[in-house]
Amino acid sequence: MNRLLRLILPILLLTVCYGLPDPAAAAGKTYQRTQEQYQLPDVTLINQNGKRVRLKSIVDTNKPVVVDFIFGTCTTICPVLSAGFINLQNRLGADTQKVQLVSITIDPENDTPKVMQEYLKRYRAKPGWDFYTGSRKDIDLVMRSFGAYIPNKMSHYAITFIHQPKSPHWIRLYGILSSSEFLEEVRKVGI
Amino acid sequence: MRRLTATIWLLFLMLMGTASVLSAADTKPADLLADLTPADIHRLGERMYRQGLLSDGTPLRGFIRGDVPVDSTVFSCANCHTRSGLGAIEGQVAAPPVNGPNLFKPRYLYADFVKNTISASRGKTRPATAIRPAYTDETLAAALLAGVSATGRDFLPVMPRYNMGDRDMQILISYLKNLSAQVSPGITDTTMHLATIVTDDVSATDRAAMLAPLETLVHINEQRKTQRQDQRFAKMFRMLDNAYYRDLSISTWELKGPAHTWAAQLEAYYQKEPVFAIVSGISNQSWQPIHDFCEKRQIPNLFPVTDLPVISSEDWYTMYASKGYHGEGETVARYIASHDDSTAKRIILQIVVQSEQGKALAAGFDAAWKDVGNPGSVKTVTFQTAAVPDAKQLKALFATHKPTDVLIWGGEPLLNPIKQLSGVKKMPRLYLSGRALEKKLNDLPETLREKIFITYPFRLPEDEKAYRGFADVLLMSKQKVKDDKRITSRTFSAVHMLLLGLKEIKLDFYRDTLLDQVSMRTDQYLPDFERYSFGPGQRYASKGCYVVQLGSGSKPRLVKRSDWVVF
Ligand code: HEC
Repeated sequence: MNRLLRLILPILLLTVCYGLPDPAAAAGKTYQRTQEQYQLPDVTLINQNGKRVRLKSIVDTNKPVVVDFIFGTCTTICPVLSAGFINLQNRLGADTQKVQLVSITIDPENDTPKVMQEYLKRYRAKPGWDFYTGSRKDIDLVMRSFGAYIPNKMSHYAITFIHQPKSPHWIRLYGILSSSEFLEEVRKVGI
Repeated sequence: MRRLTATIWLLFLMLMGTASVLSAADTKPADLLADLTPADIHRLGERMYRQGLLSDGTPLRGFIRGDVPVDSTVFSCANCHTRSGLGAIEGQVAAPPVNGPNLFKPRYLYADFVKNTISASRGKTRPATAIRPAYTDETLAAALLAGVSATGRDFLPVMPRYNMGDRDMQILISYLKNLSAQVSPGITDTTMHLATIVTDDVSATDRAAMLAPLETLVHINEQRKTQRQDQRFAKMFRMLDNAYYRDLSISTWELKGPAHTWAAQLEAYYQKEPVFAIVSGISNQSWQPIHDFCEKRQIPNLFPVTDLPVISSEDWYTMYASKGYHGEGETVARYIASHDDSTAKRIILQIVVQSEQGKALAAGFDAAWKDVGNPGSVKTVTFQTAAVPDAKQLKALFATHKPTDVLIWGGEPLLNPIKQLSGVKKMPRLYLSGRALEKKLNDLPETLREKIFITYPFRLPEDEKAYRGFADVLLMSKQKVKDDKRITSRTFSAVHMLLLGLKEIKLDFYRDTLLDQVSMRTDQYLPDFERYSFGPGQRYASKGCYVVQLGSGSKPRLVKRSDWVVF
C-alpha cells in the first residue's frame, strides 16, 4: 500500500467518525433541477471554425442539446463544466453523436474561433461538442434569454441546460453534477 | 473609523517586515528526493502545479465532481488556484490560497487575523479560534489524495482528488511550501520601489506626457499625510487604500542607443535598484527587448505606451493595453473575410513599408488571414522605408494585380501618394491604419473616401468626451502637460490598473499575485480604448478595433462600418 496513504489512514478514519458534514452532501444532491421555457433571440453566433450559425438552428435539431456558458481563460467553473462534457462524450461512446453539446462563451471579445478551437482541443472534445462566440450584444441577449445573465466573468456560476428535441421545454440544472447524474439527466430527455 | 483602520494597517505593515523574514520556507530534502537538487525539486514541482505533469512526465490524474476523471494537463492546480497560489473567487466557488505561508499556518477569519496580528505586536495573545488548523505534510497529502481538509471536512466536489505516489507528493508539497513564500524584491518596510522606462528616441514632450501621471501618483501619495481628511480627495484615497501606507518610489530608467544594448542597461538599473514592477513606459521602437527582460527577471510591466507589443500567448510578465498595429492588421483580415463576396474573386494586394509599424500591421493581417482559412489570394509587395512608392508606382501595382482590396501599411509617408489616386478607374477598396494616420485623416480627399476603410482601435471621438475627464484627475497637481497622442491618458490607465491590483493584493506583495489580480478585474471603462477587459493569462486588455469610413467635409465624422470586435 502507498506509504503516504498508510500514514494518513488514521486521519481519514478520524474524518469518518468526527468529520464535519459536507454542506452539499448533506442536502443529498449537489444541484437543483427545474423545467423551464425560454424565448430565445434570433441571433447568429460563430463557432470554433469561424462558421456563422443561427442560434435557432443550433437548438432546433432532432437531437437533445446540452448548453453551458464558459470562457477560454476561466479558472474554476469551466474546468468542472467542461470535464463534465468530455466525460459525457466518453461515457456515451458510440452514442456520442446522438447528443449535441453546446458551449457559449461569456467572454466573446477574447474568445475568437482560434481560442475556442484550442480550448476544445485541450479538452480532447469529440465531434458533437461546439463552442460559440458572437458580438457582445448578442451574447448578452442569449444569456438573458436563458435567465443566466452573467455581467462579469468572475461572477460566473455553474448552470447547464438540456433541450428535448421538438419540445418547448428545457431542463435547467443549477450546480455541479457527478458524471452519473449528468448521464442520467441526458438520458431522461431521450437518447 | 478610517483613522483607526489606517492605524491598524500601519501596524500591520510594520509587522509584515518581520513576517517576510520568518516566512522563508525551510525545505530539508526528504529521503525520497535525495537524488534531486532543490532546483530539480522546484522545477518538477512547478511543472506539476502549472502543467499537470508528474515527475516522470505522465499526466497527473484524479477525479472531480465525485466520479469525473480529470487529466491535469487539461487543467492544473494553477488553473484554479492561480499561478501565484493566492487563489481565486469565481462566482460562488472559491479556490482558496495554497501557498506555503497560508497552508502551513492556522487560518482565521479575516477580522481575527488582523486583530491577532495587532495583539501579537503588543506582546499579547488573543484567544481567537482558528477556522482551520495548519496543514502538516500528512494532512496536506490527505487533502490531495482523499479530498479531506485539515478540519476533517470533505472538500466540495470541485476540488479534484488526485492519484499520486509518495515521491511526487513530496515534490508537490515542497513546491507549495515555497510558493509565494517570500515577498518579491522591490518591497521594503517603508517603500514600494517601482520603475518606468523611456527610450532615447522619445521626444521631451512625449516623455513629460508619460511621466506626468506617475509623478502625480507619487505626489498624491506624499500628500496623504496631510490631505486624506480633505473631502475632495477622499475618493482617490479610498482607491489608494492599501498602496499608500508605503512610500512610492518610481525611478525612470532611461535606455540609450541601439535596442540590442537595452538588455544590459536594464540589468544594470535592476542591479542598482530591484523594483517590484515597471509601470507604463514609452518607446517608439518595438517593446521586444524590454518585454524579454521582464520575462527573464520575472518583473511585471503594466501597460507600457507602445503600439509595437510582443505578440505571444504564453508570455506572462508584460500586460499591454492592446495588440497595437498587429491588432489592426488582424481586424482587416477578419473584416474582409466576414464579407459575402466570393472567395475566388477576392484578390488582395498588401503594400508594406518595412518600418516596424508596417511590419507589425502585415504580421497581424497574415496571422489572422491564416486563422480565417486564407479566403482569397494575397499578394504582398514590400518597400524599404527610404523608398516608399509614389502614386505612379501604386497605380502600376493596381494595374498589374487588379486587386479587389488593397492594404497600404505605410503610415504618413504614403499619405501624399494615396491622395493622388483619385481618378483611378475601377478603384479597389483601400485599407489604412487609423492609428498611423490619426492626425491626418481629414487630409484624405473626399472623392476617395467612399473607397477608403480605416482601422480605428480607439473609442470614436464623439463618445470619447465623457472619458477625457479621467486624465484631469491625475493631473490635478497642477502640471501642464502637452499631449495629443494619448500618452498621458494611457499612462493614467496604467496607474489606474496598478492601483486596482495593489488594492487586491493587500499585503501579499508577490509579483505573480499582482498579475493574477489585475487579470481578474472586471471590465474597465477608461480613456482611449472602448473597454479594457481581463481574464487569467490574457495580456492584451483592449480586444477591439473599429473599421470606419470618413464622412464628408473638412472635419469628417468617423462612420462605423463594424462592431468593436470583428469576428
Ligand atoms: C477545478 C479547480 C481546482 C483544481 C484543478 C485544483 N483545486 Fe485545489 N481547491 C479547489 C477548491 C474549489 C477548493 C476548496 C474546496 C473546499 O473548501 O471545499 C480547493 C482546495 C484546495 C486545498 C485546501 C486549502 C485549504 O485551505 O484547506 C488545497 C491544499 C488544494 N486545493 C491544493 C490543490 C492542488 C495542489 C491542486 C493541483 C494538484 C489543486 N488544488 C487543484 C479547486 C481546485
